[in-house]
Amino acid sequence: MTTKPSQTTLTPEENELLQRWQARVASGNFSDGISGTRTIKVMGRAGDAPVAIPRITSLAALETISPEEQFAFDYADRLVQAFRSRGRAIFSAGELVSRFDPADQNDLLVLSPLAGG
Amino acid sequence: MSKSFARGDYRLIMTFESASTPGNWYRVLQDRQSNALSCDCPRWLHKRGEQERSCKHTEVAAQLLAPPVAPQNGLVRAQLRFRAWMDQITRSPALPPLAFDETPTLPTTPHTQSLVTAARDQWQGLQGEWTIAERDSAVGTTMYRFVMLRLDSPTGLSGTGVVAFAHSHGTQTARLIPGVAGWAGYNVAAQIAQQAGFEMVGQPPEHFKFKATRRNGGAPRIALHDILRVAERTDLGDGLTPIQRAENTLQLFLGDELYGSLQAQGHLDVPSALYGERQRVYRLKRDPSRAHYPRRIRVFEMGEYVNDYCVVPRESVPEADHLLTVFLQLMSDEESVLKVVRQYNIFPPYSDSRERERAAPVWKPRAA
Repeated sequence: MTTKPSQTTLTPEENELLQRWQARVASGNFSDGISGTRTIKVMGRAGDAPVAIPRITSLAALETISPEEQFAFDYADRLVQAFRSRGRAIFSAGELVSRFDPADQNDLLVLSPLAGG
Repeated sequence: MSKSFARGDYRLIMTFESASTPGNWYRVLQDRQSNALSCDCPRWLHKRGEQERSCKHTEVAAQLLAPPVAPQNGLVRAQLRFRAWMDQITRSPALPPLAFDETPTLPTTPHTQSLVTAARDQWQGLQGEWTIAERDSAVGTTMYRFVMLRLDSPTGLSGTGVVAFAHSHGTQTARLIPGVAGWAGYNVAAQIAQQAGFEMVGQPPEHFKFKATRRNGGAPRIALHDILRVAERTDLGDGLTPIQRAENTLQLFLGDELYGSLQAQGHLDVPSALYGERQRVYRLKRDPSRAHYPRRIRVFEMGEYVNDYCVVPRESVPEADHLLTVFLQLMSDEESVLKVVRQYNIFPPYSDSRERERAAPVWKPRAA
């Protein structure tokens, strides 16, 4: 899986993959090896914007899933790295995490950044 | 003050892609007061001083505004309008269309489904039936792929957006997605917003491509989806407000018992892991109205209220999100919260409120 910590904007091709992934989420139609979805909630003006990412049965299945499902993992990885690089803490299963783990089964929460008042 | 599109002085009629530069867009706008058409293209811009300025883009748009239509229901009227309009603007009828699907219909092919899905995702607050129509036609000697996007809402509102892609740059689905979702989708949203009584729906897409130069580090700026802005849109189509979403997340992560305690007492106590020898407890108080996030963390040591730390959100978030952030970070990475506490934002007790602390702090040893 490639990671692009500085690339936060999607290309048109990546946009299409994201649309196709969201269509799968809406329909519940996933490849073998994807058991469903989990959520990255990002704190912001929306309150908490949910981003659905695949829940994989095993890392070996990464090689067999569709391009849009693979992209969803890449997207999640880039999202975590982008917010981490901007000082946002990421919380999962009772502890802070520093990187995205595709094999993790838990939801993630991107916390809002703090400042001294 | 001069007129501007961003301020609502103009209405977007349609958008043309530059035939010479992919990703550069010429907007055909109509002055809301005078109904005059204008365009971003060099030909129109350079015709200064002429009483009637026009270009091939405004000429096409003018025909879009007044084609002959029969009195039918909204969708049929749109179909007839698109067909009649396309017939009128074709300057070279001998040129056969490269692709032909000119009736706005529900998306039935992977290509049209991708375009509609992109628009629906870009404008998540819009509900209703999306239809799409496409036609390849020449304007002068330039071949374009015209895409018409339409939304009919359950409440009877409707919006139509038209965008023209230059064939010379390709008509692959992935290449059309940003323009359809961005420009046509914006136009649909703007029309529906206006019908609903709202003048603007926010900023339209950038209409020119920022050229990569050494000065800007060569970074392209065209993008439809920005990962860092995923949480900026407040209407996510789930029927919830940002405050409600944040409250749901707070309850989910605190759990029923702790959330119930917060509701009852109006605060959460977090024992320090780093200053256990002082029996330090951080008290996070909640604004009863939920409208304002608390700017102070009340600090207790050995059972005494000793300080206020002023810690605020660096970005705009609902109150519940800020409370949850401070709570979770104090629990899991206390140092990261204390890093923003300096001499200038340490205050004496009751620095922002006269409400007296009556509940004793709850101290429990925690591992650092």
